[in-house]
Amino acid sequence: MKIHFPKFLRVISTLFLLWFGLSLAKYLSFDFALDLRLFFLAFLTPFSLYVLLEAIANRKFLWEFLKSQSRKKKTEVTSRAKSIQKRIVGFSSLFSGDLGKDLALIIGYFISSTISLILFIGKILFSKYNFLFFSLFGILFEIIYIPTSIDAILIFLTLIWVLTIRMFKFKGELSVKIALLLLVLCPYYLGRNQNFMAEKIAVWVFLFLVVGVLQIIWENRKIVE
Amino acid sequence: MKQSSTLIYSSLVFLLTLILFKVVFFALGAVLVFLVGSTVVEFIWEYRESPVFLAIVNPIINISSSAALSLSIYSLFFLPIEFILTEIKFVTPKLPPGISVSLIVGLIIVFSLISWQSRLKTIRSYLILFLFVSVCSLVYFKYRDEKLAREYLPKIYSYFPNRGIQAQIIKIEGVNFGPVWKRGDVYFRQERMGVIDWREKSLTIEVPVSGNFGMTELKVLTKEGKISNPVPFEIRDPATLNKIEDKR
Repeated sequence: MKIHFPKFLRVISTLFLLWFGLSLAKYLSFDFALDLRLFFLAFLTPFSLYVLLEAIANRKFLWEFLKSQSRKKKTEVTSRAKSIQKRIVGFSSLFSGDLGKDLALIIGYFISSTISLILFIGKILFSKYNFLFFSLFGILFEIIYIPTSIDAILIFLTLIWVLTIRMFKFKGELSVKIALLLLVLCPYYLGRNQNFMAEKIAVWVFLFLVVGVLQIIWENRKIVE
Repeated sequence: MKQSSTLIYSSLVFLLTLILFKVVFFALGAVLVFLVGSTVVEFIWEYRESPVFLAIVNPIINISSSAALSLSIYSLFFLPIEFILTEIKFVTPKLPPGISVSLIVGLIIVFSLISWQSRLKTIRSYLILFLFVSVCSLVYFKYRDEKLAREYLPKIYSYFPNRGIQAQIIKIEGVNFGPVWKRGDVYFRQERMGVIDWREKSLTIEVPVSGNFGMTELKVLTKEGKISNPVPFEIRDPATLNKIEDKR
């Protein structure tokens, strides 16, 4: 797949980056007299147009890709359906006739399609990028939007982060660097008398440091061995 | 960066922030930001020749330079001009949001089409860019301070009629007059006008009986003691009106 409109992509990327930066700035009380909803619309419209233009320009590639994927899925579903059909036919003599075999095949296709759908959803939900997104997004959401400190959420998000580290094979230093980045925010919130926010961030600094230090100890132990 | 120079620069940053803001937490925060920033810069410098890094950093430099320059020019020119026009020279409602958004989108389109990677080749060019962005940031911070100082002041945007005699009803439109349970006053010279209706964004007042005629200034004084921008108003002598009618 080729990018046919690189300059258009650059404009849209700049629009998105600026919108994101301005939203962050507005959250930190730095207003640039811009209506951010209108600005997002000004990004979304050309973005949709860009996606459409790229899809049209890469239509051959997309068509071939969809065809190959659907062929692969069709083969997988058909072979699974036939194996389910054999099991159903072997299970009961009711399905031994032609009608029974056809019925067994229909049931087989239904079950096989359902299994494919479940596996597809599971692959998306439990992909490592999802874990990365949910761990970082979850931590930011917990700091900014949850008004109280709930231990269960902290432990859950920490576990998600640990799983993310395992999936991506991140080094322990990354957790320590994230802790340092979060630590920078503490004096800012303390200076604004937002002690509760500073406390929440400090809790996450501590958790990241604990995870990072434990991981470094574990890695060094492996080296020593 | 060597440890001794890191210590010296961190101390300088700490002292400068402490002198400017007089808050230890800000100074500590500034040192932390400086340390994190220098770590990031060292990391970038160490891997600047790596092909993977170049594939990622080049587009980021292009995009972030375009975004930074667009926002800087917007902050340097549009924001101060808009502030002077709507808050100082002519006290008017804000410009429609579409104008500012269109301007910044236009700036983004112009700057995005320039290839910054070919222009930012030396440390000097990066420093000049950083200096320009810093100057624009200072202008923005000054604008922000001034804007915040005037944000909650009462402002008269329009009023009708702009002259009248005693018992004339005048309608004033504006902002930040205060809620109805915190009524303020409307004055011309030192005399108080009669308030018929008081709302957050509009007032209905009545010209009292006055011995002083001629051009004067109308001001709104809120319950908190904030004064609005003065607007010209003419108190006419009813006797002169009768003379005009007799002449007809």
